[in-house]
Amino acid sequence: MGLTLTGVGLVYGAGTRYARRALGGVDMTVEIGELVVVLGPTGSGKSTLLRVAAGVLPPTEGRVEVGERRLEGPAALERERRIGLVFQNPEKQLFAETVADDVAFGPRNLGSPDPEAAAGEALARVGLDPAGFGPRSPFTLSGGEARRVALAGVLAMDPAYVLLDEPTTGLDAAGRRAVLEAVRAVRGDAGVVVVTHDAEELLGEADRAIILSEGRVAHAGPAEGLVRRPDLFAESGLLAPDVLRAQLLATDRGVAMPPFVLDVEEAAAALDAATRGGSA
Amino acid sequence: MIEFCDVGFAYRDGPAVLSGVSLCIDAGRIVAVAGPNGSGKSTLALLADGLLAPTSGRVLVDGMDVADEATVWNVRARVGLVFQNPDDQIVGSLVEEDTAFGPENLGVSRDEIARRVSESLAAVGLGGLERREPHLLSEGQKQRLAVAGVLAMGVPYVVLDEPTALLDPVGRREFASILCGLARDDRRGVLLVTHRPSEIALADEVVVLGGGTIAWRGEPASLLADTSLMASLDLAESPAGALAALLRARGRAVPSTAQDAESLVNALWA
Amino acid sequence: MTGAGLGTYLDADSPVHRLDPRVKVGLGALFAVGLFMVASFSGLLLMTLLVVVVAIAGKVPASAALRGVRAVALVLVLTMALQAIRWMPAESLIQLGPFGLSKQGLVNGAFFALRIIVLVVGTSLVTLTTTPVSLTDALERFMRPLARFRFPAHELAMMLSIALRFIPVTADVADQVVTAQRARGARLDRGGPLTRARAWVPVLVPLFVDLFRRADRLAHAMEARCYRGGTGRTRLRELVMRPADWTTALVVSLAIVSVVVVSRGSW
Repeated sequence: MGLTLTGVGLVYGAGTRYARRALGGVDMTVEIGELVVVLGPTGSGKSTLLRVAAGVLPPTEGRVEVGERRLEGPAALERERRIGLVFQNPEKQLFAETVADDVAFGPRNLGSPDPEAAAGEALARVGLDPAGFGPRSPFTLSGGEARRVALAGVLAMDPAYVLLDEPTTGLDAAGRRAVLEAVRAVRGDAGVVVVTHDAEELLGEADRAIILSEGRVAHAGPAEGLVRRPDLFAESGLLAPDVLRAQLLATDRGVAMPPFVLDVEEAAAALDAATRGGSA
Repeated sequence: MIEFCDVGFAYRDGPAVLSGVSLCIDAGRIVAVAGPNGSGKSTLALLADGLLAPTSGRVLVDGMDVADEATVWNVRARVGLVFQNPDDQIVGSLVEEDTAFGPENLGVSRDEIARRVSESLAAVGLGGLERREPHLLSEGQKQRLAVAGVLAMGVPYVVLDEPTALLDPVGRREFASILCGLARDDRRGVLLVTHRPSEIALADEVVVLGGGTIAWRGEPASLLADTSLMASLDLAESPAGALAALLRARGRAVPSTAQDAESLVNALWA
Repeated sequence: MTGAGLGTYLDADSPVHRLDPRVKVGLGALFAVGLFMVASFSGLLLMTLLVVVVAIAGKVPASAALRGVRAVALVLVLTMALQAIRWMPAESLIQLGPFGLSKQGLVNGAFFALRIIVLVVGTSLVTLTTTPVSLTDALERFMRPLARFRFPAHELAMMLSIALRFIPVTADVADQVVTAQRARGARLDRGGPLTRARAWVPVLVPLFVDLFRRADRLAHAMEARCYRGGTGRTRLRELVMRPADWTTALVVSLAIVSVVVVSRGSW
């Protein structure tokens, strides 16, 4: 069950002299209610992975399934309504005269009986008041607001799975908080996959974490596993969250530390105790 | 020196974006300007380079008024501006062409341009990539290319508007060392618009904007040490900063400017 | 990342690639003109030989060189048909009612069609061996004398080169917007012209907004780097003709001219 990728590979320009492998042998599953975090350096294939998972790009190898159904053919994107894909800087897609119209675009195309209501609900879910924001032009919004409107546009179609590509890039602290709140709100009814390079944000709440490196899965497992082994980040050219790195650097100096934790309070306690030469 | 003397700015029929802002950027110093979105930080950057003229007050660059049409190009030749979006400031089809763009505009001789291009690219760690097409660079490399382009103009002042906003953690780290180099090694005056505590920590002075006016100014160490102050100024703490604050509360001697894991651990086990 | 640059440039290290782009563009133009002045099959064959020699010297694979031919296939067929099929011909190979297939017409048709093929392949060799950047440099140099007559040669060349530089970026944005709207149920490939035009609004509007915002930011960045137009500007790289460029220009021009002259004196 769930959204499953099995042995997925993608080669751009397969068969031509410009062939370039972007993904190889990727396995991934998301169930409804789960949050999976995908990490990886630039060029590791994270964005490609999301596109394949959403049915935008057919894989060159392997298969993508939603429940029992396999995503196939170039029109998979149109036929598969249950997967919502939110690109990087999704506010680039806003086009309508009003926010309400833009968010209602999706449901309207899908033949929803009441697209306006779906739009209003979706706006509320991302923390934007439908009455206040509905009539505004999308081109007058701040970065964080526009981002959330674009997210609402996807949520309005009631997807079972939501895939987000770096949802907090380019936002200030307030915008970031708002988007993360929206992602948490979505997780209840959907399976969520978030591609990010700021692991800090969601690693603590994720069920599972995947590190992609050069198109392959360098590590996959419970998010907790990555917290315990922050050295895995550096192996793939990533910077582990500072909280974990501090604990890791301490052990590198020969200091005895308890199993690593992501929570700042607990980490402070552990580091403090370690400097006194004891345990917390 | 770049001087803001009681500067105010508003767009044609709009509300005041900035009012009563006074600050100075001297050679060899980094001044950080922080604040939430909409506080006027970016407008400040554009004013410093004469891309906008203040509606009240004056902005002087080495004594020249940026509002003076006669000298505004001299101002721009002395102030380099690096923007947030890596793509939208790269003009050339090849790395070396883009770096040469500034000196070309200044009418510098061909040999001199070639020398400056290779020096600037080497200074930002892009040596060897002269013939690369910009769209094949990483976002971090593009930002460094933007800095190279500005260095090639031989500017004594560099203004950067949230240069790492669109970079990943590794890219941000690489950029931080370049920032320090600008002021320390080359003795340039640097105005850094940012909301990142790790970048504020690099500065000699920090000015926090709120609603277009200066809400706080002082040393980064004092600002970063006061969590409630930062919150009241709408500045978010970094996780490393939060960790450092908790350790200080437990009596550990961790400076508030320790904004990454390395500095933290070094302070704990000095 | 979709974009890899414009069109048909194929990178290789060959004497043709290293030629000054002005020579290539100039010779390409001369070739096209000469081709239409050739009057005999033998002349056409010699031109074809020239094209083959250049293609080999330029390390251009046959598949790439012939790619353009597919695009004009319809034109070729039409040309042949129009020449070969006559109304009430005096002498015909096959007759179908009042229409007949004339032998002379077939020969003519073949000549014209072959000429089109040689033209397409020959001129594509220029774009296959010259980067878009070099082409704009060549164009700028050609236009430069016109600047004396207030013609905005520099500005046009700058616009062209910036447009080229932003092609990959724009392609990526367009791709993202199209995909995003498709994912929201937009039907971009159905319906008559009016329906389709309306369906593309959700793609064109954001794309244009994005482009205008980019242009604005880029303009600021250019001004910040003291760009004031062409006056007083120097250049890092100037096109300089080397002896090899002059020699090639001379030799190839002579070859083209002689083929034309010779062909017009025989069948």
